Formats: sequence, structure tokens, C-alpha cells
Amino acid sequence: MENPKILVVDDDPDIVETMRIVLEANSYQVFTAGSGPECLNKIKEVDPDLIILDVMMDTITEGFQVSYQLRNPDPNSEYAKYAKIPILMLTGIGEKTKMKFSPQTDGDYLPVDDFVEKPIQSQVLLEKVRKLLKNG
Amino acid sequence: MTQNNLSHLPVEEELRGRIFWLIRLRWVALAGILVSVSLTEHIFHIPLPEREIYLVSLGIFLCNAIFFLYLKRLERCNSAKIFSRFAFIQILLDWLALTFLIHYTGGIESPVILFFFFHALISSILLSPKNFYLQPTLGVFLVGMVAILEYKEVIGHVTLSGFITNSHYQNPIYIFGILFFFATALYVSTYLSTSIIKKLRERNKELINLKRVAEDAYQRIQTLYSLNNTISSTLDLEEVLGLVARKTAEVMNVKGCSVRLLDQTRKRLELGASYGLSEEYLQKGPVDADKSLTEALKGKPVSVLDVTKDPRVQYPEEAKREGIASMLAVPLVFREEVIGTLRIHTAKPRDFDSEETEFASAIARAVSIAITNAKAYKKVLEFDKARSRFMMMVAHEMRAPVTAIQGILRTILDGYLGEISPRQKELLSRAESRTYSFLALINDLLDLGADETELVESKLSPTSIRDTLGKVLGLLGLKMKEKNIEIEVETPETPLIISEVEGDMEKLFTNLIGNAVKYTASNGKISVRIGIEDKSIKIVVSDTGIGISSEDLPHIFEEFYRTKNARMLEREGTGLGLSIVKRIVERYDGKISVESEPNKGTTFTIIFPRNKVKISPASP
Repeated sequence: MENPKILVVDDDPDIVETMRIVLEANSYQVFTAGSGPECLNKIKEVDPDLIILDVMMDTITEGFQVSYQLRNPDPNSEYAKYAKIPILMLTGIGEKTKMKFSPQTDGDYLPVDDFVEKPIQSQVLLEKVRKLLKNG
Repeated sequence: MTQNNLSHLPVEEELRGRIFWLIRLRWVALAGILVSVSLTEHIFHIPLPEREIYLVSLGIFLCNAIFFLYLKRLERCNSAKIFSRFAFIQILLDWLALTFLIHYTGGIESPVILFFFFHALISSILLSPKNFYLQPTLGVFLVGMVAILEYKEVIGHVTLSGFITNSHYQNPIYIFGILFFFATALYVSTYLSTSIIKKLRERNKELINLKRVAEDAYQRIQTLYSLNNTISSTLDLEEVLGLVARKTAEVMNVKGCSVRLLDQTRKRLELGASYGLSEEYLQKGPVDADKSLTEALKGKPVSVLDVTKDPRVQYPEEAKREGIASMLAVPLVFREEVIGTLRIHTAKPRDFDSEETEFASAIARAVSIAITNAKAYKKVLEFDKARSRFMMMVAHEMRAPVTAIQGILRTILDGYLGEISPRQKELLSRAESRTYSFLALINDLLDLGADETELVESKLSPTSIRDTLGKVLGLLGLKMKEKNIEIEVETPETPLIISEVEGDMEKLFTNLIGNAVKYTASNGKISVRIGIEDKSIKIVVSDTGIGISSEDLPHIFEEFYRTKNARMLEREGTGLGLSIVKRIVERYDGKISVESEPNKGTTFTIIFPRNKVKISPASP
């Protein structure tokens, strides 16, 4: 099987770069995007196996908007076929507690599959990536 | 101001009082007559026509009883005219009775004749000035009549044998002499007492006027004082203005009041607050500084008697429709600069006199100070908010680069970019650890900046204090084990639920217990106790650590403050932990206090009011 394709979305190029290094060293194909709209374009182009999405880009909830758009599309939308791609969300320390939902309370409705806190520990990141790809 | 209701006092009240006094005197006089009659008869053995005298006395008694009952019926009467007529009739009857008494006690020879003098005094006190000379004339006439009728033997003469030896009543020269001196003395004494009474009445009037002025002044001072107290009770600008409008309308006893403040351009007067005026009237349109009561903006009070006819009124039609008749506008001045006007609207036409204008100006001065204070306070609050926002923004902006630096360092340290020498690795690790403390500082700053003094209901979620404590102790467990610190926890059976902004209690325990762990030497002891008290929930965290010196104690809740011994023991630390704890405690209306002794330990006590914490019954 071809190496899994991961789309890394973050507006901080240095974060993107470090993740690319770590992920590529572990034989993943890495594609990157610097914003929500760019991410949506890249999905159509790449059809990734996993998306790593920063929660906050230009606006505080841009990451969430992207994930909602992917998860709950109009059945006729061009994104309908990407609804099943697992999403790993990047959050800053403490940001997660301010969110209105959590994996415990919202269960199936959660628009993402897991969280990784910044600063990213490469071991943690790799572990979560592996787990999500296996499930998917 | 309340119109003084003393105005009827000097005339009606006083007259009524004096008539009562007269009636009482008459009872005494009656008793005096009876006593003198029996003394004269039994001790001096002078014969008197007892029957006649007793009949006159009975007449006096009956009249006086009628007067007394009549006066009782006049209890609520306020007409000076009725009282004065009543007094006149009484005095007239007194003269008559006295005349009879004189006749029965020897006519012109009677010593009772002297009693006319105090009747003259009483009449000058009781009766209006025009009756002053009618009374002595009547007196002289009555005595003269008795003397002449007795002299002519038209009526009989009572001889006071043993008192008068010669029959003077038949001596015309004696009669003339007595009558002459009697008349002169009566007129002179009436004249003297009248003048004195007149002066006294004038003085009395002056006193009453003075009292009224003093009472008005006192009331104004009281009003100003209470107004001042009310409007300085808050620093909230809107509240201050609202109070000003309401209070002013109340104390000036007018339909409505508004406060208008000059805007930044100083061309418009913006509505600050109003009382008693309809929304429709208030929305009548922009109030221009150069069209509406302009003189007030130059520092002079403006009084408008008729709003429909005064060219200084910008919206006469609207004012008329609102039912406003007159207006008074006084400038609100602060530091010689007019900041707006205080406007008073009356429903009935009112010509504001200088006293009222001065009073309104005094109110305006107090109001100006209150407004300026409230404005200054608002600015301070805005500055504080801006500072807080700025700090949040800075901290936020710093976080992204630090996170990126951490990521890069981590990637190199993890060897993704090839082998690095041990020395390189050591320095890069140090750099990475510094970024962690930097991030901790940023997070503390964000916690501090995120402080919202007012708790927004929608952001609150119920949290169990005990569960949070357990979670924090779990996270700190490893560190405590490393230092072999003994921990003692005491919590009540009943679950304590606090509605918190998520994370507050966790931060509170993390900082307090984290400090205790940090500043307690190996083999020390930490205790956490939570207790339910009468009106509060008490949380006590104490340790056997390095303690805090008495010089440091007052400063430990200040931002970035770190004690010397704390810095020596632990290089890392932002000095923000306790500030965060204090802000959290205050956010829930709680109180925090600290006791400490260097090298012995420290105890922090937090008290939350019970209404902030829900105490659920113990689950079975």
C-alpha cells in the first residue's frame, strides 16, 4: 500500500515545517496548507488519508469551520466524499478547556477525532496519527 | 421647598390661645369675687348686697361656660375675624359685669374701679388696634354712668359702711376728680400697653419670618446634603445622572428634570438622563448649543416663564405638548468650563426667584463634581480594560512564536535532522526548557488577563470542588512523592458544587498546592482542609515550608512579586500564581488571607460565601 497521505493545515509555517520533518521521517506523504480555504482546495487535489488541522488560524474558529464543513456537508456538495477523513486537531495549551464541547460529552457529534496540544511532542503526535489511520 | 404653613400661627393660633387664657383668668376672677365677698363680710364686717353680687357672679359663670364650650367648637376654625369678634364680645360682657360689680360695691367709691385697668390691658392685648381706644372710652362711659345715675339717685347706692365714711358719691367734685383721673389713667395705660404690644407683635412677626428663613435654609442644606450623599453613592456615570435628574425634580418639586451634557464638538447637548419627561419629548430632535438656552452654556442661569413665547427655547411646540410651562436651566460647571446644563421643567408657570435659581445652581455645582468623578472613574476603568486587553494581546501574540521555537528545537533534539553532539544537545535542551518557562509565563499572563470581574451566567458550569482537588493532587502526586511530602486532606462528606468559569478552581488549587509543594523541603507536610461553616465555605492550605517573611507578606499577591527565599529556592517562577489565585477568589466574592512564619510554614485561608457554593446532600 502506498504511504498514507497527511494534509497538515496551520498558518504558522514553522509549525508546518517541523511536523513535515517528523511525519516525513516516519514515511508519511505530507501536504500542507496555510489557511482554511487553501485546505479545502488541497483536499480535492490530494484526497488525504488524514488531516491535521490547527484550531486557530486567521480567525479564532477557522479550524472548526473547516472541520464542520467537511463533516456535515450538503449531500450534493463536492466535499461529501471527504466526510470520513479523520481529523486531528491542533490546540494550544488551555484552549481546549475553553471550547464548548469535549470528546466525553459530545461523542459522535464531535467534528474532529482527536486533539494534539501545542507544543507538539513528536512521540504523542506520531502515536495519535498511527491510531487514527488504523481506525480509518 | 415646602411652603411654610406657619402663616396662620401668629393670628389665629395665638388669638385662640389668648382667649383660652382669658377664660381661665375669668374662672380665677370668679373665685376671687366669692373669696373677697366673704372676706369683706366676715372679717371686715362690711355689709354687701350679697344676693346681687352672687347673681352677677352666676351671670359671669354662665357666660364663661358658654364661651368655653363655644371655643371648643371653634377648634378647627382658622378665621382670625371670628376669633377677634369673639374676643370683642367677651370683653364687652366683662366691662358690663365689672360695671355691675362696681355698682354693688359702692359705685364711684368702689375700689373695684381699679380692675378696669387690667381689663384695658387685656383688651389691648386681645383686640385689633382700631378697638384700642373704643374700650377705655366705653369704660369711662360706664363708670361715669353709674356715678351719675347714683348721684341723681336714679339707681340706689350701696354704702360700704366701715370702708367709706363720707358719702362721696354725692360730691360732684369728688366724682369729677375720680372720673378725670380714672379716664386719664385708663387712656394712658391703654396707650402704653398698645404701643408695647404693637412693638411686641412686630418683633414676633420678625421672629417668625426669621424662623421661616432659617427653616428654609436648613431644609435646603439638608436637601443638598442628601442629594450629595445620594449622587456620590455610586461612580457609575449613568446611575449618577439618573439619580441627579430624579433627586433634583423631587427637591425642586417640579414636573421633570433633565441633564444635558455637551458633546465633544461642544455644539450639541446630549441627553445624560431625565426624570418625569416622556420618551417622545426627549426624542424631539438634536438640542443645539447655540439655539437652546444658550446663556446657560455661558455660565448664567436661564429662567423661562413661558416656553411658548420665549425665543431662547428651541422646541416650544414640543415643550407645550409635553405640558411644560416654565423652565430653568443652570450651567454644570467644572473647573470654570461649562460641561452641560441641568434643566428643570415645571407644569405650572413659575417665575423662578433668585433664591430658587441659587439653589438650583448649588445643586448643579454638586452635580458637576459627581459627574466629573464618575467620568474620571469611567476613564480609569476603560484604561484598566485597555491595559488588560493589551496584555492579553501581547501574551497571545508571544505564544505562537514560542510554540514554533519549541517545535523546531524538539525536532532537532529528537534527531530528525541528524546526529547532534552531546554539548549541542545539552544547550538545545536548556533553550527548550527556557521556552517552557516562557510559555508558563505567557499562560499565567493570559489567565490574569482573562479575568472577568463580572461572572457571566452562560459561561458558568457546575464543578465539584472535591473532584477538582482530587485531580490537582493527582497531577502533583509525582512531585510530592519525589520530595517525600506527606499530604493530609480533609473534606466534608457532602459534595460541594460551585458554579465556576471552567478551570478556575483547578487553577486555584494548582497554584496554591503547587506553591506548597515547591516551597516545602523534603519530608515536609502539606494539609488541605475544606470545611462548611455557618455562612461560608472555608478552604485552608498549609505547609511546613520555607515560609514568608513579614516584610514580604503584604506584597505576595502583587503581580510578578517573588520573595527572596522563593527565588533562591526555585529559579523558575512567574510571580503571578498568587495574583491569579486572588483574582479567582474575588471573582466569587471570596476572601483570601495568609499567615506565615519563616522556616516554619505558611497557611492560606480562603473563604467563599455560601451562596456561591451549592452544598448537595451526601449521596448514599
